[in-house]
Amino acid sequence: MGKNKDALVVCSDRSTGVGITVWELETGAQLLHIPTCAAAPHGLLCLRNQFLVASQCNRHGSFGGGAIFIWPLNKPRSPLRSYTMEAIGPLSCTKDGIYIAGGAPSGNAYLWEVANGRLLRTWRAHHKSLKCMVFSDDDSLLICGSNDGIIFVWSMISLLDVEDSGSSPPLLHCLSEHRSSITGLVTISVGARSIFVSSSLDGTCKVWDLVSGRLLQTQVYSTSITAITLHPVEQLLFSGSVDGKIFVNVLDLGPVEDPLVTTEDQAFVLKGHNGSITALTFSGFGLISASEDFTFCLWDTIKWVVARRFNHRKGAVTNMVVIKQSTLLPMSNHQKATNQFCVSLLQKYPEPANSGEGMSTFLSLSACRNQQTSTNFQGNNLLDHLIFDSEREQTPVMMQMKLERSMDDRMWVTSMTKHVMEMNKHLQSRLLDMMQCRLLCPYETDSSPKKKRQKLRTESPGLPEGQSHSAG
Amino acid sequence: MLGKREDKEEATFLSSTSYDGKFHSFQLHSWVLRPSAFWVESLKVVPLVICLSFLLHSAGACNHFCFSCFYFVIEIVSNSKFNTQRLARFPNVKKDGTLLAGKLIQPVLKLLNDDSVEAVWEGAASLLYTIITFFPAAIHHYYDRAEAAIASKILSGKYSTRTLKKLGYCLALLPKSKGDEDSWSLMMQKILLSINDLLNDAFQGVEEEAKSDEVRRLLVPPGKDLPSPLGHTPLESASHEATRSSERLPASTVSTLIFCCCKMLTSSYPIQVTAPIRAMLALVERLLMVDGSLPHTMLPFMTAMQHELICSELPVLHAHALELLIAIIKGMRRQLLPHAAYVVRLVTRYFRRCALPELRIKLYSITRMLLISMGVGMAIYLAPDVIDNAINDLNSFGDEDVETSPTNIGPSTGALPQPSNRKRKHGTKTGSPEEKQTISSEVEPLNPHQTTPITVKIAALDTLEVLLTVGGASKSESWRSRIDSLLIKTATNSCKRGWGNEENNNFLPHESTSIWVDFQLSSLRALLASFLAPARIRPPFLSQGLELFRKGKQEAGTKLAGFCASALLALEVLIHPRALPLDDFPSSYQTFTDGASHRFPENMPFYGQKGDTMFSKSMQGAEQSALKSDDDDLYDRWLQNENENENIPIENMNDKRSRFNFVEKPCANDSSFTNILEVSEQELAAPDADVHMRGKDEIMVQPWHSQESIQQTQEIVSAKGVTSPVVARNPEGTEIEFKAAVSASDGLNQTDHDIVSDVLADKVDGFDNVCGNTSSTISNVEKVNASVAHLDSDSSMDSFPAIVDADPDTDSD
Repeated sequence: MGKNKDALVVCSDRSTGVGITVWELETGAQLLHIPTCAAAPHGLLCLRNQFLVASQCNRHGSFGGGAIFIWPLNKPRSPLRSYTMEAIGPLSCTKDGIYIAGGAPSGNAYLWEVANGRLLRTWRAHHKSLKCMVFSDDDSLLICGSNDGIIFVWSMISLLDVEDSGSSPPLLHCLSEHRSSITGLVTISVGARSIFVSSSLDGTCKVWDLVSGRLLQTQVYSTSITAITLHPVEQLLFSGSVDGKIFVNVLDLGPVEDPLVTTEDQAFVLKGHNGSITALTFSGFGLISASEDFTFCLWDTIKWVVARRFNHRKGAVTNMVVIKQSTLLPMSNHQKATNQFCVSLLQKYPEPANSGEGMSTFLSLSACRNQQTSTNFQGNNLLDHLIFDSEREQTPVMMQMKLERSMDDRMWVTSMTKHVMEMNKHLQSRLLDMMQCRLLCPYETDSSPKKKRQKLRTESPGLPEGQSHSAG
Repeated sequence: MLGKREDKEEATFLSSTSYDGKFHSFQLHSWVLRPSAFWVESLKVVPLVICLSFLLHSAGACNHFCFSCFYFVIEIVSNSKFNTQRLARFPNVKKDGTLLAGKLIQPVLKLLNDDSVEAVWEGAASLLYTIITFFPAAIHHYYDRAEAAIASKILSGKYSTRTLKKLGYCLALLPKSKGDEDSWSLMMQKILLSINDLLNDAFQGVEEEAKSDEVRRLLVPPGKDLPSPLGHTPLESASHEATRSSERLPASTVSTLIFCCCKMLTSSYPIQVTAPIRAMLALVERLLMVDGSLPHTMLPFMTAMQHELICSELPVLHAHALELLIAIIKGMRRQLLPHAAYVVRLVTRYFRRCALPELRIKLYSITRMLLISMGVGMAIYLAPDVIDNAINDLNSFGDEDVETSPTNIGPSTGALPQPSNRKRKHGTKTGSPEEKQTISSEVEPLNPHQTTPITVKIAALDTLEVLLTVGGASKSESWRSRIDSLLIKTATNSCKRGWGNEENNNFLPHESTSIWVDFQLSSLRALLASFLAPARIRPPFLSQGLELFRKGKQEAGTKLAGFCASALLALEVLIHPRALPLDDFPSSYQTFTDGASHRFPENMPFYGQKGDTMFSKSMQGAEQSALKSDDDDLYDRWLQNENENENIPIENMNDKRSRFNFVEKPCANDSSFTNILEVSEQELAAPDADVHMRGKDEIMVQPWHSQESIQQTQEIVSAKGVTSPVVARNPEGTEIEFKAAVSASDGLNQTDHDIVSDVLADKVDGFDNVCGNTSSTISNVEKVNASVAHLDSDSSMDSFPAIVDADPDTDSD
C-alpha cells in the first residue's frame, strides 16, 4: 500500500556534512540520510527513478575539479564518484535518463551519456556562469540560463552531431530579455506547442515559445523571483520571491499575438516563509516550498495553508526532488540485476577524435522484461503450415503419403479381387462336384429333382441356363 | 483458438494413423500431450523428449527411416511446444528438459548438415529455434557447430526465402544461449563483415573502391585481429561458389544476413550489449548509395550482363538496407541521438533520389519514426525535405481521374520495373538492344509525373500529420500555408467521389475499397492535424473542413464516421473557445482577496482529487455552496457573472459563425434536419417541414412514431377507463383532431387522402369499441394494443403511423 507514497529528497549547499535527507511527506519522518553531499541549486536530480545524481559544490581551496556523485536509491551507501574538469553547478537529465547535461560556473557545458559514461560533448555555452539547465519535453532541445540573464536554446541533434564537432555548435535561439540572473526554467507543453517559463532576479517571469523563440507573456513582480514551478495539471505558475512570498498566477496561453504583461496585483500570494524561497516543487500532496529560513513547507492545495512544516536545521535547503518511496526498498535477490539500467562513471575528458570511428553505443534492450511473453508469440506454426499444405497436398511428404495410401488401396483391391476370385473358384468346383454327383447317381435322388434344380439355381444364379437344362 | 488448434492436431493424427503403423508410440505420446490436463502433460514431455532423441539417434543409423519420419518427429515436437512453454515455468522440469534437449541438438545438427530435402531443414530450423528459445542452456556446448551449420546453409543461398529466414532467425538467437555480451557482439561483427564481403564482390565496378574498406575499418579497429569468419568457413569459397555457379548476385544471402541483424537488434537480450552502430549505419549508407550508375572509369570493365544483374537486385537490397535502418532506430531508440544527424543526412539524401513506391513508403515510415522519437529537434531538420517530397507525391494527381485508372496500381505492387529504368539512366548506353526493348516496354505505362500510387500518398499524408503534430510550430511560417491548402485540397478530392463503403464502390472499379478508405482516413486525419497544430492565425479552411467532417459523420457504422465524430469533438474547442473559469480566475480572485483571503482557497483547483480535474465545475460548485450561506451582495454579483458567462459564449459563437463565414449550405441542411426532428416530436402538422422529409430521414423517424403512437393510445385508453362519463366526449375530440391531421396531411400527400381517412374512420370505430369495453378491467389495455396493432397492420401506407401519431400528441396538448 505504502509503496507508492512520495518521499522528498532534500539537500543543501552549505557544507558537505549536511548531506542528503529523505523525508516521508505524510508523517514527516526521516527515511534516509546520505552523508557528504552539497549540491548547488538545480544540481540534484533523480535519474530513471533509480539513481540520485548530485553535483558537488566546489569547496574552496580543496581541488580544481568538480565532482558528480551518483547513488543508487536502493543501495545508497555506495555512490559512484565521477570527477570532472571543473566544478559543475546545475544538472539536468533527459526523461529517459540516457543523457546528463551539466553546466559550470565558467560557462562551459558538458553532456554525458549515462550508460557508458562517455563525455559526448563539451562546449562554451555562455560567457557567464551557468545557472540553470533543462531539457525540453521531448528531450530534443536543451535550454540553458546564465548569470547575465541570457537564455540559449540548443538542439541536441546538432550538439551531438558526430561529424561536426567544431568548437561552437549552431545555436537555435538566443533570448536576452531578462536583465538579471536566471533563477529557474520550467518546460510545459500546451497542446502541440512547447513553451517554457523563465524566472529571473529582475523580478519577471517570462513565457516563451520554445520552437519559435517568441516571448508570449511577461509577469512582473516587485521583488526578485528565486524559484518557479508549475502546477502539474492546471496552468498555474508558482513563483517564489526573495522576501518569502509565493505568487500564484495563471498561465493564460490563448492564441494571443502580442506579449501580454500581467502584474503582481493579479496574483494570489501565499505567505509562510521568512526567508527567500530557494526551491519549489510539486508532489501528489501539494506544493512544497523551501526557504532560506531553514524550513520547508508542504502546502494544502485546497485551503492554501501550510499543512506541514519541516525543519531542516542543518542548513537552508537548495534542492528538492520528489521520489517514490518504493524505490528506496532494497532489491530482493530474486530480481537479478542483469537487465538493470547501468550507470558508468562519467568521464572527465572527451574521447580523442579518431577513436570515434570505432565507436559503438550501448544498446539497452528493455524488452527483456517480458521475455517469456514476447517469445511465446513468435513460435513457428509448422503444424499450421503442414495442415495448410496437406490441404493442398503440395509437400512431397503429403504426396508420398497419398501415393502410399493409394498403393495400399490398390493392394487391398487386388487382394480383395483375389479373394473373390478364389471364392468363385471354390463355388464353381463345388458346383461341378455336385453336377458330377448327380450325373453319376441320378436315381438316388429322384424324390424331388425339380426342387433341387431350383435350389441349384438360387445357389448359383450366374450359371448359364443351358447348364441347368443339361443338368436336368 | 485453442480449440481450433486441438481439432487440427486431431485431424493430422487421424490422418497419420492410416498412414503407417510405425508411429504408434508417437501417437500415444502426443495423445497424452494434448492440452487437456495441465500438470500431467507437462510432466509427460520428458519421456517424449527421451523417445525423440532415441529415435533420432537410431534414425541416423538406419536408412529406411526416410525423411518423412523426421518430418513427423519435428511436427510432434512443434506440437509439444505448447507444453514446452508451460514446462519452462517449472525450474525442476526445466533442468531435465535442458538435459534432454541437449541430447536432441546433435541429431538436429546432423540433419542440417546432411544433404536432404528442404522441408527437413526447415523443420530442423524450427526445432532448433524452439530449443534455443526455451532451453537456451542446452545448446551451449554445440554453439560453434550450430553456428557453422546454419551459416553454411545461409551462405549457400540456395533455398527458399522462408527457410532462409528461419535459419537467419536461429542464427540471430544463437548468442542468447550464451547470454553474454561478447558472443552477441562477435556474432554481430561476423555478420556485418560477411555482408560487407559479399557486397564487395557484388558492387565491384558500380562504386568507388574506397567505400568497401570503410565498414571493415569501422568494425575492426586497426590494432585488432579479424574475427574468424561466420561459421568458421572461409567466406570466399562459399560465396564464390554461389556467385560463380549460378551467375547471380547473392542477394538472398545478403538479405538473410540483414534480416538476421534486424532480429538481433530488435529482439530481447538478457544484458546490455555494445552495438557497432557506426558500422551498421555505414553499411546502410553503402547499400543505399549504390544506384547502378557506372563511374566512367569503370565503363569498359563491366559487361552489360553483370550490370543488368546488379540493377535487378538493387531494389531488394535497398529495401533491406531500409529495414536495417528501421531496426537500428527501433533498437537504439534515443541512444541513436549522437548519430541522428548522420541518419538525417542519409535519409534526406536518399529521399531525393528514391522513386520506388515501396521504398518511398519505407522512407516515410522511417521519417515518422524519427519525428516521433526525437521530437521538435528532429522536425526542424526533416521538415523541408518531408514537405517537398510530400507535396510532390500529393500533387501528382492534378486530375482526379488518374486515381481511377487501374494502371497505377501496377507499379505499387510490381515494384521492380521502375527502379531498373530509373537506375539505368547511364547504363542504357552499354545495354544491348534487347534490354532497351524491355525497358521501353516497362516505361510505357508509367508517367512519372502523374502516377503516384495511392499507398505512397497515404504514407505521405501520415507523415505530414506526424510532422504537424510534432513540429507544427517549428519555423513553420514558410510552409504552413502551402501544407494547409494542400491538405484541404487532398481531403476534398478524396471525399469528392463518395465515401468508401461497400455500397458505393463504383467510383473505383478496379481498386479495393479498403485502400481508398485508408486514403480518406489519412487525408482527414492530416487535415485535422493541420487544424489543430499551433499556428499564428486561425486555420483558413476550417469551414470547408468542418463540412467534410460533418458529412463524414453521417456515414454511420464506418470507421470514417467514428473518426469524423472525434475530429468534430476535437475541433469544438477551436470553434468555440471555451469561456472557462480559468479566464476569470484572476477577476474572481480579485473580488475575494479584499474581503477574506481565507475563503479564496475554496475556489482554487487542487491537484490530487479524483475525477475532478476540470477547473470550472469544482470551482463553481464550491463557490455556490460557499456563497449561498454567506448571503451578501457577493452572491448577486456572482450570479451576474454567471449570467454573463452564459451569455457570452453564445454571442461569441454567433459572431464566429458569421466571421468565419460558414458556408450557407451546411447551415441550411442542419437547420432543416433539426427542424424535422423537432417537428416530429411536437406536431407533425407543419407541412413545410415535411417537404424536407425524404430519404433516410423518413426511415429514421418512422419506427419511433409507431412505438410512440401505441404507447400514447394506451395512455389515452387507460385514462378513459378511469373516467367513464367522459367517454362520449373523447371520440369527438379525436375526430376533430383527425380532421386537422388529415387536412395537414393534404399538404403531405393528397393522393393518400382517401385511404387515410378510411383508416381513420376505422380507428374511430375501434376507439368506440374500446370505450365500450373498457368499463372496468385493466386487461383491456392489451386488447387495445391488439386493436392498434390491427390498425397498423391494416394500414398499407407507410405514412399512416405518422398521422396516427398526430392525434394523441395534440390530444395530450
